[in-house]
Amino acid sequence: MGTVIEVDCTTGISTEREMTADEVAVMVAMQAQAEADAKVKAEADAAQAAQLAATNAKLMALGLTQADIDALLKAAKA
Amino acid sequence: MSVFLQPIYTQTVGAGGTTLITFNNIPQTFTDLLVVVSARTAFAANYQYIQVLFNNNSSSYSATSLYGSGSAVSTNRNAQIEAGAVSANATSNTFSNVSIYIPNYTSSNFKSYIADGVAENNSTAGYDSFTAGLWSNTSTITRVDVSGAGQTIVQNSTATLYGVLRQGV
Repeated sequence: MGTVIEVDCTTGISTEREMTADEVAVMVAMQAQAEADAKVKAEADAAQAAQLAATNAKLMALGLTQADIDALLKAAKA
Repeated sequence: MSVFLQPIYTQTVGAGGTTLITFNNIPQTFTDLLVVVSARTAFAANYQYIQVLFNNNSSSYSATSLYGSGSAVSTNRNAQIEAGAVSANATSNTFSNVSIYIPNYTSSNFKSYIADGVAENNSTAGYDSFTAGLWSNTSTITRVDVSGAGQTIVQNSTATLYGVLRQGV
């Protein structure tokens, strides 16, 4: 899968080698976890963006300008 | 209160990059460990995780993460030590800042950790993350692995391991 830079902290010697089968297995598991975490994060970001867009549309329908909405949201965050 | 911060080793990634940086045979003479990473991965996105493992063991981690992107915030429960890192699509020549603090790494109790990372990007989106977690394992930590979650960590990235000696020890 790739290379490892291994530092022996006792001797201070750094060597480069191929990953062992055990290290590859661990890396594959971690990669899957990272992809799952990234998916959760992307979905949360998308949901938040959609909610913001929906709120913006509702306020526009009430007759507010985009400048009014931006000021309102900024005040709400503060 | 730290009275002594000893750099144990700084590894700079050379040409061609690497998948994993491993600090092995860590001295058991400090009280805490600090891992500081300046890294960029080859992953084709703005953002990727830097992951850290103890003793090449991917089990028994539980963590809570808080993320910010510049426009949204989110939280996540996960089972890894993760912090944000810039990747291939982010502004050229930018590297992320990641630090992981591990108190009482020689203890026979479970190990807590804090990981924070910033994946800076010269655009509207920049990512940061803050994670607090627990490794439910009683082994002393003798090895720390730093990876880009399977992606290549590119040339000129660095990882430094520090030993921390607390006051009164």
